[in-house]
Parts: sequence; C-alpha cells; structure tokens
Amino acid sequence: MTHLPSFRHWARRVAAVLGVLVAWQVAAQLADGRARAVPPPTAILQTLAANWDLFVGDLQYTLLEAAAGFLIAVVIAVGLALVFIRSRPAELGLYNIAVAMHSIPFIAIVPILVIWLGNGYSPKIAVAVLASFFPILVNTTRGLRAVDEQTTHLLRVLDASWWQVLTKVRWPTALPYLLTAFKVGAPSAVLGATIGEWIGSQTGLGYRILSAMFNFDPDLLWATMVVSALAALAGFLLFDLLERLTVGRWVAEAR
Amino acid sequence: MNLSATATIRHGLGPRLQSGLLKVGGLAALVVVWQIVTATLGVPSYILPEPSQLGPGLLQDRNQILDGLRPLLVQSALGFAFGNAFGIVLAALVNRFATVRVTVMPVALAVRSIPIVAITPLITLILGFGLKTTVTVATLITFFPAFINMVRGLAAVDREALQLFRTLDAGELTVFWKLRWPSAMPYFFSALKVTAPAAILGATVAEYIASNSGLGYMIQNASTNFQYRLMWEATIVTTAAVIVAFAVVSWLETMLVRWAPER
Repeated sequence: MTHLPSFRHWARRVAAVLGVLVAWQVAAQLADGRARAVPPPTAILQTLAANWDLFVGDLQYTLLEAAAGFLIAVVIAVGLALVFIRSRPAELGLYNIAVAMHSIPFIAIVPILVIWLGNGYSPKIAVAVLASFFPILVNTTRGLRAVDEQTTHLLRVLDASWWQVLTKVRWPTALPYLLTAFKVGAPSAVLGATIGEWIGSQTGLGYRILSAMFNFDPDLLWATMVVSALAALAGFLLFDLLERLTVGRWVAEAR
Repeated sequence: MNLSATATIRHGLGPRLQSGLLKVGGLAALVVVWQIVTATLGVPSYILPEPSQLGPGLLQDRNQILDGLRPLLVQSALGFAFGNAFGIVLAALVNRFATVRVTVMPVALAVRSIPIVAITPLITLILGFGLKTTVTVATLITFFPAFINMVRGLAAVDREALQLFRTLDAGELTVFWKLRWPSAMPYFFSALKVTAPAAILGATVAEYIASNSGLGYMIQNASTNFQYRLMWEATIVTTAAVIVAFAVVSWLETMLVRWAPER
C-alpha cells in the first residue's frame, strides 16, 4: 500500500488542474472571442462530444499504428539489449548507431519514410518505432545489467550456462526496468504515430490536428489534442496498471 | 566466450583506444555498408543516395543549404537562450521564495510532461506562422529541463557547507553565487545535454509545419517538389547539427565542471 500516492497528494493535483481550468474558462469568457485561438474548456468539450464518431474513427488508425510500432520497437530493443549484455564490443559499436538514429528529427525523415514505405500505415508505424525504441533499449540494457554481481559469480561457479543466468537472474531483475521502459515507450509510440500522420496522410489524429491547424479551426484542434493526449495517457496507464499488478510489490520494497 | 575476447582485445590495444575505435567503427561500418549496398545494387538516389555522392552534392548545393542552416541555427539559439534564461531565473526565485515555490512548482510539474513537439500545431494556431512560433517551440523545449534541473541543483547544496556560510554570516547573495550556483552546475549541464539537441529538433519541426525558412522548411519543400537530393542533404545536415550541439555541450561540461563527482 505504501507506494500508492496518498489521498492528499491526489487531492492537491486535482485541485490544481481544476483551478487552471476554471481560470482558463473565466479568462476566455472575459476575452469574449478576441482570443479565438484559445477557446474556453466548455467549447472544447462541446466539440469533443459533437464529433465523437469522427474521433473514434481517427483513433482506430492512430492506435493501430502506435500498437504495431510499439511492439516492433520492443522486439528490436530487447533483442539488441540481449546482444549488448552478451558482447561489449557489439554494444560499443551499435550503441552509437542507436544514438545517431535517435538524434534524427522524426519529422525530417517522414518524407524519406514515405518514399520508402508509401502512403499507408507503414511510415507512421516506422515513426512510432523510432519514437519509442530508444528509451526501451536504454532501460532494458540497464535492467539486464542490474544483477547482483555475487549471484552471477555464484552461478558461474556452479557451471550455469549463459542462458540459465539470463532466465533465472537477469530477466527477473530486468522486469521492473522493462515495465518502466514501457510506461515511457507506449505514450511515445502514440505521439510518434500522431506526428507520422502529420504528413502525407488522410486519416488519423495527426491528420486531423494539422488540417484543423491549416483551416484555423481552434475548437477542433484543441479537441483533437485532448483525444491524442488521452490516448497517450491510456498507454501509460495500461503499463502502470500492469506494473502494479505484477512487479509492483517487490519494486516498492526494493526502493 | 566474450570474456576471453574482451581480454585479448584489452591486452592488445588498451581499453580506452579500443572502445573509442569501436564507437567510431560502428558508424564507419554503417557508412561503408551503405556505400557498398547503394553502389552495387544500383539503388536510385532518391531512395538512398550513395554516401560518396553526398559530399560533392553538398558542395554544389552549399549556398542553398547554408541559407537553410542559418535561420535554423538562429531560431534554435534564440529559443535555447530564452529557455535557459527563463529556467534559471524562475528556478532562482523558486529557491529563494517559498511563496513562488508553492504556486509555481505544482503547475510546472503538471505542465512539464506535455510533449512540446506534439503541441507545435497548437502553438502555431496561437502565434501564427514564422519566427515567433519556431523560437517559442525551441524556448519551451529548453525551458522545462533547465528549470527542473536548476531547482534540483540549487537545492542540492552540502548541508555542512551551508551551515558554515551561515555561521560566517554570509548574505543570501553570497550563498547563492558561492555555494548554490556551483553546486547546481552539474545538474544544469545534464539539462543542457538534453536541451541543446532538443532545441534544434523543436525548431526543425516548427519550421517544417509553420515557417518558410530554415532546414525544416527546406526538407518539407524539397520533398513536395521532388528535389530528393536537396531533401536528403537538408536531413543529413540537420541531424549533424543535432549531434554537433550535443558534442559541444558534452565537451564544455568536461572542461567547466571538472570538480563535479561522476553522477
């Protein structure tokens, strides 16, 4: 129970958010249409309710791309992390390539991805992979390394194979790190997919965001932003819940 | 198996040189493979240009690329400077005045998890196309890590040193400049290593959707006009700028905060 945030903590947060929303509403009412780019929260909510079907349609595309991108990123990142702990030279050689790829601005390579992969789902999935891959790689490598030295030495003495050390010691140690990585990676995949839809796309939340921007439709733009933020948050909460249900108890003790 | 391999390598070359070679070697190998694949398979240059042709191409297009690089660097540098300045000043106020801390911190902690790149369309809608939006995006991207790390750093002073300062009747300003500021520097530099590349990335994204200058705009424009060579060059130069920014900040860190313990 100790790792659950206290009631006071939550109450204070909710109060802060509500305070901001109320101040925003009042300010927007006072501005009385002079600041069209920032509609009052109630107007955003109305747009959200009125266009619900539209958003559900967009969400299907974006979430599918994000989920596919996330899964691919997990497979590549975990595979690479296993190579890294197996071979130090491979890590030194490959890690910098991963860093270089992480330094490429996603948006800048979307045109290249469109040339390579066409206009369908694939380039958006690729952006989702790029957006979520790196934090998962870093955390998984760290987790696989975070074993107790004495335990691995003992297992070596007992003639345990690399595979046995991996499954019996490294993997359980790495699990909490992995879940932390997923909590970062899942929202990143949603945002990556959304940004991937900014260009060369006719569907999805990202397309909706940019077309609302170019058509100067503040209500729709803000409402779509809320939907994509909620989608990213859902990705985080999914793995947060999974963490609490699985490794939560012993992680809390270790901390 | 890998143990013995590493051991022989260490024995032969010395670990530091060895790891340096591998780090550079990975990237070099990538470029070599890229060259061989593109040259032998005859990959069309719009799909993947040969690395060996990028150099001559860049030389030929250098004026265009420089015309894009200049605005990008100016906009990122402005945003980077503003973001750091605001972050440092607000962190100093938070550190000094409890009322500021109580009001600012909850809001800042709630807002800092917003991905700035993702809300670029919103910022564009509010501020319009052009310089204001690009600089604002770079500023916001820089601000939050700078602010949060400075708040932590200014608070992370050695308790005993602080007591000594107090005993010697040092004023708040002396404590700030002689004690808090130096202790905050390692924290500040770890923020810089994130924000220097991020400011360029943010400015590029903003240029892409909300500007008619800079490399971000050039990538977008070149791709819609099927000028694939220019698109590739602009992308590679942008990436290089991001990597150089990171390298410069890391180098400054090793030069300026030598006393700091490894964190």
